[in-house]
Amino acid sequence: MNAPSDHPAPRRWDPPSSFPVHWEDPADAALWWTHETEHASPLVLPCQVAQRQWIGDGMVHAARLYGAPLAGRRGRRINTYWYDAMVPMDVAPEERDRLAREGEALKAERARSLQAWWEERWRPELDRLLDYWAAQDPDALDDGALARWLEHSDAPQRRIWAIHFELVFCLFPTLRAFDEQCRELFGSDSDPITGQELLVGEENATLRGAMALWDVSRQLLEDPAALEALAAPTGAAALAQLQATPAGQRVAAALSEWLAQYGRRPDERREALGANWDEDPSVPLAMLRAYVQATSPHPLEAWQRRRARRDARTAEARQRLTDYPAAVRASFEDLLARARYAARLAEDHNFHLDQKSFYWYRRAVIAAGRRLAARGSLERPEDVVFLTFPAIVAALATGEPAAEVLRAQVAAEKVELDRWADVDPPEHLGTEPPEDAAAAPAPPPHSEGPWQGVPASPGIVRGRARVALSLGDASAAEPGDILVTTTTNPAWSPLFAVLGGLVTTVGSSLSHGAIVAREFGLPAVVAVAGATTHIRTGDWLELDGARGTVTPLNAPAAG
Amino acid sequence: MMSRPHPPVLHWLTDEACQSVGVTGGKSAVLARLATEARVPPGFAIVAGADLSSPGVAAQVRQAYERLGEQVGDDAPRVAVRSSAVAEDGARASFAGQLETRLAVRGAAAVLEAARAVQASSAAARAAAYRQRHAVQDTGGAPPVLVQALIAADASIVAFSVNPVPEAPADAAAMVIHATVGLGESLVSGLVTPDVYTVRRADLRITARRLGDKAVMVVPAPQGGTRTVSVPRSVASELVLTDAQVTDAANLLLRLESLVSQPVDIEAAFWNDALYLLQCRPITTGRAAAGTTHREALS
Repeated sequence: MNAPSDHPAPRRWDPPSSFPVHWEDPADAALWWTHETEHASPLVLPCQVAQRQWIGDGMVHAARLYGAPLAGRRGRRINTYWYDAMVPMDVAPEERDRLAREGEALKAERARSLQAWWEERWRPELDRLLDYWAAQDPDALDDGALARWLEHSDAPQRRIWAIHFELVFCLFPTLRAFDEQCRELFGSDSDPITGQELLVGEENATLRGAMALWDVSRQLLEDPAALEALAAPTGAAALAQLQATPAGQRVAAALSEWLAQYGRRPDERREALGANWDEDPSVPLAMLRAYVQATSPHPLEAWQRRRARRDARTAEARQRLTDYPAAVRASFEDLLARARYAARLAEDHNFHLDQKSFYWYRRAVIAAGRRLAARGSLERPEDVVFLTFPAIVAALATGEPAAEVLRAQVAAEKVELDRWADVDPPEHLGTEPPEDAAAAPAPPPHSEGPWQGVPASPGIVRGRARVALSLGDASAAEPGDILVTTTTNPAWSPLFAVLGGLVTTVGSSLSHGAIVAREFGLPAVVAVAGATTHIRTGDWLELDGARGTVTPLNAPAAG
Repeated sequence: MMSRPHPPVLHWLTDEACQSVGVTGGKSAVLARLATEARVPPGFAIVAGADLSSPGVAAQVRQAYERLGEQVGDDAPRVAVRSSAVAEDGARASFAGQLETRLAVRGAAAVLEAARAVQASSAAARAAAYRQRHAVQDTGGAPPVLVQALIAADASIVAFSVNPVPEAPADAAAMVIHATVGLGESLVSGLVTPDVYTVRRADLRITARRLGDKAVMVVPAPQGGTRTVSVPRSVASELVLTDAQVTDAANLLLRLESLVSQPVDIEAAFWNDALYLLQCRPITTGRAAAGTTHREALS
């Protein structure tokens, strides 16, 4: 920490000329805006603005609950990209300290009894909230009722995201504490045991989904005709082709059962643009294509190997602690159990919260789109995503504005999205607070490699790079490819089963992708700045997940 | 096995003969005497003057070590090997540091080697003390050595039945307990700032609990010996003793005090929630001036 002698002044960030910003509210220029990359898809559609607000409000709700001195938050869609700004609370230092103390205590208490909070409070409440959508067939409502039903879904959505962050904020302190304790206990040993090693192999929904889909793939293998259907260009075509034979019909039935269980998720994280998997099963079909390859291992086998390795390392850790004071052994066991539960929820909360929120929002909005298209207000039901949530509600409730106005809005939005699609949005806008301005800028990444990132999942692998900024790109990955992307994305998790390695440009050893990579025993390096620009699809790489390095290779390595 | 004409070279702590300070040294003699009143780790004292280079003596030590193993149910028990000459010391802080102590020694050969090293260091330290202060009679010969099953301490304490450094009048009526996590060597050698508890003598009420800075702890090493490792923050940030343990220690202090009819200081360890007495010495007003022996205190 280099503390400058004079107090740093706030710094105004002028956006580049390629990204002009007009502040409608002049007060906004004084705030520090951050382009949300972890929680937002690159381009934000008008109908996603409501989601961004729900997510942002949920985050601030939990942050305030746990003592962050925030008055609130503002979110803006600027040039089709999403920016959030925290509004600091104007409080005396003592009051700020009191808030932090009490908030931390509350968070620590919940982290200690995480399982009870999840199983006895959050999860049951979540089930009730999701019932709002599950219990209602939107097509059975008239326009006015559909508008009200949509409008009132605002409340359960908000609460889902409040729960999401109340939960998530409790996970990482536990995972970090365990990681740190393992460093304290084993870090100076000749064979250090890391926290990550002891947390892999927790059962979770992703694994259960992969295993269930593997079973479907075995049925496919029994029928050459059904296998052929997998090669169809679209998910819909593949499903149609499956229906042509009795065996194919059985596979289709098994697949739709699987989709009801594991397919209630959108194609991309936190985004209503991508079709839900049960609308368009392209993703699970891609997984099936990988699974039917002879080289593909059963997901359970790999999981059991990881689990056995983890259990052996856990036994080793306990052995090393045999003669340690009881308080140390008790603390280790307590943190281990809590960290394992936290690790499971770090993955599973996506299944229960994120994906369900997006899934039902997409379904509800598309139902509204069908209605608007049926009366001619939209050209296609899917065009509804180019309208904001309030505009969709109003259009249903009042029939206003007229069809040609709505269609013009949609057309204008498409132009707007095209205009900004290739712009690199600045990471920050507005006015940088003094404490951030004091931090040194990150050094520019080396462009020719090797590149250093954060070790996320151990293992050394060589393979061909697959640079993918969307799940569509990523789906083209072939078994053994090293996926290079910006941020890892729970919707992609099943794809991990066929990858050789993973590189992301952002994230940490505790981010979603790192956790899932460890689950899949997939070597991974995260936070490799510039990886998606320096590396091109087809490049050969060596990835060392323990050292956090990515090294370019000249030619495919033999063996 | 072999019948020996010599007087025994070692006494078990449970033997009455072990209670003679002149034969087994102050530390062993006191523990032997208190073994019926307090939980003392099993072990034996190698008498003063024992010649460990003699095959016959060495054989007896090896046999005793094996017997200790049978007692504690371990083929190769870890033991603590210390000088028992502590009674000669008037000022522990300056003296104890010079005494070799070998902890977590495993195997008969290693025990013999450790006992020889303790004899050597103890003799050297005593000679030095004699030269400095002429306060200790230098009898020459090998000092006594105490060999005890190692207590793999969960928490170790040093405690005084009266406050040795009263800062206020009320302090004198208080017992003081210093505690840390792991083996007591980190406490004795000043590696850590311990947690400090104050207990009012009148009603055994705990009047103060002060969290120390227990950055490191000494733990038995897998291959024998000890190692100093960091204390996980989650453990260091909590008080090492429960109130019940503090009360246990306070009760032990009072019991020992009444046995020796004098205030005492002790070293002790909690292991599996039982409190083991490792050393007990009377606190005498003239102790700092040296010369007061346990023989006087206990006679």
